[in-house]
Amino acid sequence: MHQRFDVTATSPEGMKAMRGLAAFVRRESGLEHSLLELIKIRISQINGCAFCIAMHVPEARNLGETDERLHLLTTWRETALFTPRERAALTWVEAVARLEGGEVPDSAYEEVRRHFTEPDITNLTFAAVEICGWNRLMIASRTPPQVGNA
Amino acid sequence: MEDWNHKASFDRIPSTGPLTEDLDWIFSEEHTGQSLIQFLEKEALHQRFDVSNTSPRGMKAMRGLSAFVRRESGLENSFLKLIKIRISQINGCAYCIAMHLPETRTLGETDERLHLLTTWRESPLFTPRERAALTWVEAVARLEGGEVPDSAYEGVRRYFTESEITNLTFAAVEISGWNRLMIASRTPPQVGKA
Repeated sequence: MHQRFDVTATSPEGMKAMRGLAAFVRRESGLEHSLLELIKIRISQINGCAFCIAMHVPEARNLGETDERLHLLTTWRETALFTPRERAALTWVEAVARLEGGEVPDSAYEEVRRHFTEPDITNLTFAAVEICGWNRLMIASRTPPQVGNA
Repeated sequence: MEDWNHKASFDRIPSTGPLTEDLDWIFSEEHTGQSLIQFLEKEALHQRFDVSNTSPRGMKAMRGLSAFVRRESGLENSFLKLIKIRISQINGCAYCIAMHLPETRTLGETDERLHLLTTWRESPLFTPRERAALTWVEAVARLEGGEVPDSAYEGVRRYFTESEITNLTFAAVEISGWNRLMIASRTPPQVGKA
């Protein structure tokens, strides 16, 4: 993996702006940290960002996440290990990340509405936007994952 | 009278008379406070939620990113607009296209280039520098195969400094973010302003 450019070094102000978004999601969205970690890891899997997965898996573990759930996150639909609330959140954020057919389907919206308030749904969307942003920055820059921290 | 039980066909609706006068008033801008097209946009789309109202702090954070791209990235405004429109086309965000289009005209962008932006690869109207940037930001937006190909990187390196490439990436991240917020919330485009 040959890094193309260092995002922080080449655009410290850009990083500062992104960190503002990250801080909002982490501190002000009201969403539980364990759920946010699942969302970040799952979307990073979809988008293919190794840096982000390597960063968030240890963070998830520190919050008490089980190995089993972490490993089965790629196939969360086919296991009972995730609560209905988590499933609803994952359905929504995956659809936001993928934007298949240029939309986020009604079925995803119906499901997330059953478990989350309107501000929660908006903030889940911001969380998806945030991790999608980091994924793009790290993939585009070919920033190598920080491994060996687990 | 039995006609009223059937779905109306257009040749049965009278072109003048009390019914159409009522409809004129019901849909008038005077009565609704908005133009007919704005009313129809809202009806067609059924907004799910209002991003600003439900998460003002989130909007503030996103605007911080926007402000950076607009003021500090060093990329020309007209160019940033092209990037935003192109990525919004790819992601399917009508709100964003409707928002950025009038601003491009103000900045002197031609109708021809705007209409051919969907097929910019096949048009001679975009400079090599613009083509390199569009290739890069499209690849960042799409993330096909979980990557941004080397060919895109080689291309953009020919015309842009490292900082500029990073900032082009931030611009792609920004508009991709807005697209997701507006599409997820089904916020109707603000039309009728062109």
